[in-house]
Amino acid sequence: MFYSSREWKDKSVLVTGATGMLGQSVVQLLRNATANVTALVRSASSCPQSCKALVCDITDSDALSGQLQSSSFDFVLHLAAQSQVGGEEATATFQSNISGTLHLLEAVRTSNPNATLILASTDGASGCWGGFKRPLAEIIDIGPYAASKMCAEILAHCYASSFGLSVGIARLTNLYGPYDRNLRRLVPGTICSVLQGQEPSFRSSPATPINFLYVDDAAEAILFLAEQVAGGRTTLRTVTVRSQKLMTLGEMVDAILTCMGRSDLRPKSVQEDDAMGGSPASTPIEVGEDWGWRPHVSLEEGLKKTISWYQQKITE
Amino acid sequence: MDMNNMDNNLSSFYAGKTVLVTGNTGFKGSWLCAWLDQLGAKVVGFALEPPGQPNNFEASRLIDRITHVNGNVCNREEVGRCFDQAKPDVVLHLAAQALVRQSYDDPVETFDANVMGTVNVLDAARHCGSVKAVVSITSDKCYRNQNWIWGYRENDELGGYDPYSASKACSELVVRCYSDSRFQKVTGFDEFLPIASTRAGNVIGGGDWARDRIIPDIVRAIVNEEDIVIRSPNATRPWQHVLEPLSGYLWLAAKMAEDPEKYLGGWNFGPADEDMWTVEAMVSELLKRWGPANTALKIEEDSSGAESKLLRLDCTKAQEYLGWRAIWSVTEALDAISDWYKAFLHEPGRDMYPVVISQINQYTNRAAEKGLTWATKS
Repeated sequence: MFYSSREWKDKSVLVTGATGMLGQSVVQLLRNATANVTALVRSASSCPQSCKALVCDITDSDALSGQLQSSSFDFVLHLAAQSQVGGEEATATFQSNISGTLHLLEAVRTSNPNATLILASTDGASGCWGGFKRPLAEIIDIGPYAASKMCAEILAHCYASSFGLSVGIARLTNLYGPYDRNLRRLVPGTICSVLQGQEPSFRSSPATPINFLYVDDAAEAILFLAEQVAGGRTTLRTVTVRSQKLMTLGEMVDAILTCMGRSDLRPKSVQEDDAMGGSPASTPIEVGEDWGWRPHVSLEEGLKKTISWYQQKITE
Repeated sequence: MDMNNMDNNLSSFYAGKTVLVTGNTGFKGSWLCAWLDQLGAKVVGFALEPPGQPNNFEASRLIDRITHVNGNVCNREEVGRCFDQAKPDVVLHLAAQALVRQSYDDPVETFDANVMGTVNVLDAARHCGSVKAVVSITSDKCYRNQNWIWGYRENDELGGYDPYSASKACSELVVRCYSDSRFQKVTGFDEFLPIASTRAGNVIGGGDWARDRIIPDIVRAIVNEEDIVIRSPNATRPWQHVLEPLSGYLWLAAKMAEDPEKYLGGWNFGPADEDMWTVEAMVSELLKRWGPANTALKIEEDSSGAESKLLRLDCTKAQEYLGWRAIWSVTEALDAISDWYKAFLHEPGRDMYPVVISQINQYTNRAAEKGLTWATKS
């Protein structure tokens, strides 16, 4: 374990996106470390049981500021994000990922300026980033998700540099694990197909290389980064959070089938026009800077935990 | 159409077209509306109240000459309603919170206006069904930080990430996303809508009264008989008269409407490289034009080293594809500027529209002499 439970004991932590895949895992770690966890939620009914609820619209920074003023948070973990979308939801992606991040940063600046804020971003391996290294002027093929997450990073940079907020940016790779309810994604889609006795299907080429990381590893990285930023001298730190090797989509499906004892099933290919960032790109993945964190959950272990969650959900 | 209307490639495109200009009450927007009016376009403006008193929008009585809709680009419904009613052929999106200092005071307003405002305008342009071309105006500031999104460095100097520049980088990303043909298709729009973004240099001209900008500061100093203090006399800026980038925006939109696939991406409309002036030279040239005024130039050099380096905009793309070039030298621009303010100060409350139009005509004539396609007749 890289993060330290002692660091988090009795710390006051605000989490956005607490009900999401990453959020669930982060909240669990925080609970284990006996931190005081508050979830920022739209309605009290959507608050995880283990958290206090802070009911507020994230795009209303005045209301959010007021709420934050009365509680002094040591950490704000911004994990909420509208993820990959198509169709008319593109605007909602911008609203949630840009406006949401903006108003949260502003509320923290005005009412909890000493808090450490962590932004969950994307490593750009999936979707249409076109890589981090290209100059802005040349970026043309960029989807709404990638564009909105890049904007969120720009916002975080700006608030760190212009207003001195302590900010950590975690560029996360493709996560898998329990609580992922988006069955269009490969791992949940495959598991649920198999649980229903159906052949799994690929939406992209099975040869596409992908970096998969188990969600608990990512959650530890978030806490580890938060500790580093809180204890560090710089106001801004950006790290890459990914597993140490690539695997193809085909290999992932094979691993799931093996794990579920259904190697007899033959996956089928369904080609979709999914060019707006739903499909993983085959761009070579750069090895990020070594910042002292390593994943430690093996693929087998991660898949077992993931599969058992879906089994439980299906029997419920 | 009035007598001043000149017959050229711009007017043959814009005559009778409905053009929606956001931010039309601002300095740049007001000049653009006057020009479009002169070209015979039906102009619909969507903007907040003019930024303060005085301002070129009111000084040129544009409220009587165009259709002006009071509204905020941050308000999605207002924007949508305006577009649906106007059914514009061309959209020129200028509305922005454009002041760096203001962006520190109110970062939320700045990001809302410059980023979500752009989202709202582009969505409205897609949905209203009539638009043939959108030109979104950003700033050269989005370039200053070109590297920082891609490669973060711990030792980056503070202040390089001011909210204004950051908001402009975000709005560039939004435009890139919306202009992508796959994005348009996936989001349910089969007919491709060309969207481009443009950047200009430090725009100067008559009728600017914004805070913290050099020309308005000089004019205020002259009016108040105060000295003008400059802190970075040796810094050079890509100064250009407001009509320079406006000619680029107008010609670009016309070409985009003609050939939607050909003119995508970002466009720079900056001054000629050989015509870069220092702050000191520019200020003293302008002061000279007022004769023996009670305003002196004082230099209090800022030794903090925070001054940013010279910014140059590479305008090769605009030259190659649009045949666009800068027309006025800084000297000519300063002549036009001092003429404008002198006319205004000589007779406060007069209608400045004739002065604005006569400067547009002078500029167009000069461009025609130089053989620029937009200013000539094909």
